[in-house]
Amino acid sequence: MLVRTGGSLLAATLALAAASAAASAEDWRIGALFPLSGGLSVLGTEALAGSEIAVEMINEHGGVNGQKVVLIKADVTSPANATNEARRLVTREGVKFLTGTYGSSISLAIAAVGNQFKVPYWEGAAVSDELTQRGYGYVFRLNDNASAMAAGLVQAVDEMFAPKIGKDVKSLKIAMIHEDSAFGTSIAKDFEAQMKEKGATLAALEPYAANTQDLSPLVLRLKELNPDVLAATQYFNDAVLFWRQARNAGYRPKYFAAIGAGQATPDYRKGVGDDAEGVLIADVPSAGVKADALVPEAAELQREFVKRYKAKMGKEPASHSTRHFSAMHVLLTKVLPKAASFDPDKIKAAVMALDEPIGSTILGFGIKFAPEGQNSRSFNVILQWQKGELVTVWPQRFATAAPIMVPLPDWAAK
Amino acid sequence: MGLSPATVDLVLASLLLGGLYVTVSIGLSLVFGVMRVMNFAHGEFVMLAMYAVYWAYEAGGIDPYVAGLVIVPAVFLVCVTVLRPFVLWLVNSPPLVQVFATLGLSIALQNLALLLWAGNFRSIRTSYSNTLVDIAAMRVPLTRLVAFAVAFLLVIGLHLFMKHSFFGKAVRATAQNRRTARLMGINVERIYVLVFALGTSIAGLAGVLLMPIYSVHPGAGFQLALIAFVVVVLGGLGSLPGAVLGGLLIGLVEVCSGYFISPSMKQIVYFAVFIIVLVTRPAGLLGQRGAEEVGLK
Repeated sequence: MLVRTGGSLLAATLALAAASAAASAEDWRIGALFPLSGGLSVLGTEALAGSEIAVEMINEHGGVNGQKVVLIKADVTSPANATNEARRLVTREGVKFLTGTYGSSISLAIAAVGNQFKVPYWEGAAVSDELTQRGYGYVFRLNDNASAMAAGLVQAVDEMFAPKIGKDVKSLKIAMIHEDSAFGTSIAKDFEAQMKEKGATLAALEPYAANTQDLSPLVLRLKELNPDVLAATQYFNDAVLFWRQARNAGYRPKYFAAIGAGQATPDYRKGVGDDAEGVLIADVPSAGVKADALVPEAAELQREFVKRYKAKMGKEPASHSTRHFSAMHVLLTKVLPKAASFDPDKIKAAVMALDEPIGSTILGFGIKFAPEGQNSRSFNVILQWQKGELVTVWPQRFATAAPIMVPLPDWAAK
Repeated sequence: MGLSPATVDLVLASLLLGGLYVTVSIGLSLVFGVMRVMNFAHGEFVMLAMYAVYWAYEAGGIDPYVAGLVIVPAVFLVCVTVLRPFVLWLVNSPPLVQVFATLGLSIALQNLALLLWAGNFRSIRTSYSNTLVDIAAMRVPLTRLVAFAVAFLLVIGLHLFMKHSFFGKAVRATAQNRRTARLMGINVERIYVLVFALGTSIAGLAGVLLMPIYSVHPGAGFQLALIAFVVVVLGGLGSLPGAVLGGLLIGLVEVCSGYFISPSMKQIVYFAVFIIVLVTRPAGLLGQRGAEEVGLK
């Protein structure tokens, strides 16, 4: 009995060793770190699905330079956990390239490990500006960061709203409210700084805790201040609560624009009902970029992705899934084939050599990386809730509908 | 008359928020007052009731308040049947075991909810979500008014019940001295189970009243319970009038500090008030000294 157990154990070990040796010798083994359990599990799983679809598509066409791509997955639920798992992938699994994630604090932890072992890190969705500003050298982000998100909103105020009400952006009374975690705070900072560049100062900057039970004091303050423009960075819960309480207090800002997160979800539409009508959101187009704004290959890729995502997950892809698909697809088709290895410097050279126009990725971004690792051709468009659908209203090239309700009218009495 | 509209709005917002806090807190206070058990899973019962309302509305199109007529008695029934052995074991356990058992239950229920319904925030929208009621010069959101009115009636009803009914007297006797109460022929076990069921049903009722206003997610109850603990300790452990005063005070402090100082400062301000009260009156505003030994007021 003992001998038999020992024998089969030995055999299993040998088989395992052989398998992993075979894998490491030939395949492209890429670490994929996502929150797959806990509170972020739904979003993390959807994001991972985006990456997996890109890998499946590439492998069906023979892989990268004739070798298959394999994702070595790890479940990362917190920054501490992300540090441990990234370390495990690098030191135990021998992974030489890391990707992920969902959540800025998690991505910062992984980037630090990557830096320590000089392993490149390719981020798909986290937005914190800090990620590429730490001087790590081998951290790359194809998609939009916090300052690109804020920039979308600032430009829209300057070029779409101010002319519409016949005022100069400098003379507008602008207020911003934001939840006070790293996400909301970093976007608020970017928004304030970019407004300053336009010569506008904020009349109010109001942080609050996202888990709050009551936003009525905030609503009352805003009602008294009565700004021309109200910008907001909110998670889901507080976004719904704020809009409901504003409605109850009879307060509707003339121009209400949110940045990412809460307002762009179907659940938000459900939570506030028809009151969502006219709300503007700076984000990537979640319903897909209109095909004629993309180069033909990107338009075709978008169709293919949506089809595969629906088959795999049984629903339409959300923006984080699309971001991850796009990031992984660019990595596997434009970076790895050229670098031909995971050598950090070859990867970096391949990334920095990319130069593609706006419209060449499925989110509409172009590709031109700044030296610190952020794609400078990523941006946000302005979406709007119209008749229960999110449509793109700005800029012109990506617009699928004209903006309505600018400025927003007062609430109809009910 | 001489009040500015902003003052009226502030007072109104404070009262409505305070009313919500009272609803979540009185069940907790009741259970502690009688059983000397701090139920850390109190918020999870609120959360589960919110999910029950959500699914009744989503799947069956049942109005939240109508669903409440079934949900609240259902919570009571579960407590007196399925949870009965747990309650009796809990009340006879040392304090530390009680803390870990209820905290453990809290974590287990949160993760169960996460497993069953994922971490999404879910909210419902009824035909009267935006309805405002005119009272004097004020426009009050209907859903919040209902929550406030129910909390108000509940507190008065509970107070009268405890003071004047035979069962209420038996409950107070049990709270004051368990052994003597037993000697007087009171079935102490039955009292404990019924009080736990009553307190938990009130948590369920709170969930029913909150769901038309807020979104639910697995951690929603825990956030509410944290405030409820502050309310209950501030008002005086085990004191029902104290829970009411504590709830209204926290509502007032939160709204006024949010308005006059900054929305991000409101938690700091109410915790500062909390600390000051505890330093000057360790038993809470209406609590009696040694409340953990003496009974329900």
